[in-house]
Amino acid sequence: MSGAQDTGPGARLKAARRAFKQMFGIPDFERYCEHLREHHPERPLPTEREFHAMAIDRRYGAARPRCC
Amino acid sequence: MLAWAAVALLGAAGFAALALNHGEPVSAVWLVTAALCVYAIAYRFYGRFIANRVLRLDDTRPTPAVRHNDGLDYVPTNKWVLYGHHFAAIAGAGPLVGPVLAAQMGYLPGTLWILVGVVLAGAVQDFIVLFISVRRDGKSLGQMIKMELGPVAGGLALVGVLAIMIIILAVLALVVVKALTASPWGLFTIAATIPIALIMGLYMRLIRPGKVIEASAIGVVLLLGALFLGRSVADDPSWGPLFTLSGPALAWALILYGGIAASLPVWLMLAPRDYLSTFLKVGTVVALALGIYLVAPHLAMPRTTLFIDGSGPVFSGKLFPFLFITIACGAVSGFHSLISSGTTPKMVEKESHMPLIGFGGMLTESFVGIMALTAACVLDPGVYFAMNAPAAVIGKTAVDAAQVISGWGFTITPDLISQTAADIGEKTILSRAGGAPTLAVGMAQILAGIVGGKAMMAIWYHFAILFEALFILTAVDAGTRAGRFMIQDLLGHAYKPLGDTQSLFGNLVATVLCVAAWGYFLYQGVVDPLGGINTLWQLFGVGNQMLAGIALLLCTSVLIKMKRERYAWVTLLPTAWLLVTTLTAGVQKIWSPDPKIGFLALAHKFGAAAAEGKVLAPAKSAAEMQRVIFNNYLDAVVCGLFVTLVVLMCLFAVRICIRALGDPKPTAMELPGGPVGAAP
Repeated sequence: MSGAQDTGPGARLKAARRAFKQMFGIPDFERYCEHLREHHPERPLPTEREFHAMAIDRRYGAARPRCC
Repeated sequence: MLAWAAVALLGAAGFAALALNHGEPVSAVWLVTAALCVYAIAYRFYGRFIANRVLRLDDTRPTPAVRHNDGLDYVPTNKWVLYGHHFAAIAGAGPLVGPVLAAQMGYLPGTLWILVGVVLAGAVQDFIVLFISVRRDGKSLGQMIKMELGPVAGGLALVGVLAIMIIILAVLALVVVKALTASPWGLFTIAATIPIALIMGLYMRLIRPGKVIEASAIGVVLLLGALFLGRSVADDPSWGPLFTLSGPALAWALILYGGIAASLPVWLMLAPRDYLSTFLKVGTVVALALGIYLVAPHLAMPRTTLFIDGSGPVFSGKLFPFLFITIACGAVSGFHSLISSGTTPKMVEKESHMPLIGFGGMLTESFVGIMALTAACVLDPGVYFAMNAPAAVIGKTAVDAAQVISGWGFTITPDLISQTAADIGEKTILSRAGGAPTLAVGMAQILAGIVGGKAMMAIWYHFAILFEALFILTAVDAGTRAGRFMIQDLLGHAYKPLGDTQSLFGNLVATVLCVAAWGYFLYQGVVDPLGGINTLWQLFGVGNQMLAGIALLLCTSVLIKMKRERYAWVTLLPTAWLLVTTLTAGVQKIWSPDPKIGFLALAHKFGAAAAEGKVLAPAKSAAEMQRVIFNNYLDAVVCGLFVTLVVLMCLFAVRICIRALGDPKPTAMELPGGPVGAAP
């Protein structure tokens, strides 16, 4: 959750958008890129299209039980 | 402290208003307020007690999200955000259906069980399963049972989960069939969700990759369009009949849909529709809560009805044990143990966040159950019974139904039945058991009180049906896929190539098997003249509560292995209650001599008549007699499977616990504490 300490309306809007995405399980491209840059700078960044295709297939591809 | 005393007093005042009134109408606001006070106190005191004393949460231990942060699945998440995420994942159709069916006994029994059940059983289960999964790197329930109770117990649990899944899929599909039979408006809007989801899927994949919110906004607009268009379609002389389907035809349509939907790529239909239904679900729940407070409707259903003696038309059987399996979700739901050991544990940032997420998330779901109960109880009881009693009991016309129902003491005129149907834009409301339509009428009554008045009732009704059917269809799709994986897992042991989840052949075989399994139970329920919900919902309830029993047995074993046996009562108490109610219910469903309750008794009754060449009432031919007999034996076998499973799990758990009690050291398989650098 880096960036959460920043203040100002821009940062706050960004934090809110991120929270909304997380709450509803929407893949977050920006966050993923930040993570890669920070922890795995040697890996190439995916394009937005590649990332979403991969993330959606991962989220729904596994046998995820759904509640009653 | 003073504030908490005030909350306690407010709650007590709510209960006094509910329980002590003598016939004068009570406002639903009291019921909802009393529930909220119970939740607040339970969370503040019992939740904190479990966190600090029983589990001893420790923020210095790194959670799986911290250990494995990958920016994608494992992400440390703000506790309020994760609470919302977890709630959206656990809340489904369950808390909307059970409480509505249980309303036949009056509002008080259901309310009390939901509140006591959630505090002492449901929230405890969700919270502790989340805790033990977080301490085991986010492992799933099956894996944890294998780790802590042994491989045989793990295998048995998987078979049990698969069986419960199949029954859930059948019963959810049945709810949709009951709601859409001979309802062209409803069917048109639900059918429209298929192309709408496809459009959203293509948009999110090809046109604007990943723009889920934009696609969902488009989806909502198109859905509302379909909702308004539906009325004209239903009234149209040539289109109307095309969307007017019988129960069996709808069952076949759903079976076909399930098979095809589960074979499509996930991004095309499953993902877009899941997002759409989640937004709609959360929005509707909030709207309903606001509606109840703004409109403050009176509870029309009595505190208790004569049907607590077991003679009720909606489901048979006495208050004990059947109330406790009819309301599963909302009080305690075994299925949640799969979610609490699914995606949520991979996102927990700190251990101290878990009371809010696990305990608080379940309290919120329980609140949905309370609102569903409220919506059913603000209806005129006559209307409630007209909608929920099977045709075999109340007949097929408004006149017959009004006469039978008035005979029970719930005075209603045929005109009111016909008028209610007209208000909601349907031809009939009779015998639409399954919860969804009843809830929809109740919601329409409440929401129309805020926006639109009587003129909008029909729109609100169909909106409510749409909202429920949408996430049920998503569950059917996702559940069929999950069932397919489990079947492939099992088949792989018999014949290796079938276990390969990448092979088209293996996929097809497992998908067909899964759809055929739930489709069989669905079809059996649709053609059952007693309504199907009668049998299937109770089978589901027994299965779901058994799973909760298994999850709580795991929790108990882990507590004892952690050498916290002093606090084992926290999980032993709900385990014992679940075992007592579900085993009693299971045994009664199989062996009760009353053919209204016991599967075997009904099979024998039909068998004896068939042997004499007679045809008994619901059946119309000798072949149908044979089908009734076979289906009842089958139901008895499924019920027997659940009972056997839980007894075996109990034996495994007892053995492990006795061994752990004799061991002076903790033997739970937790990851060691202490800070660890983030793994790649």
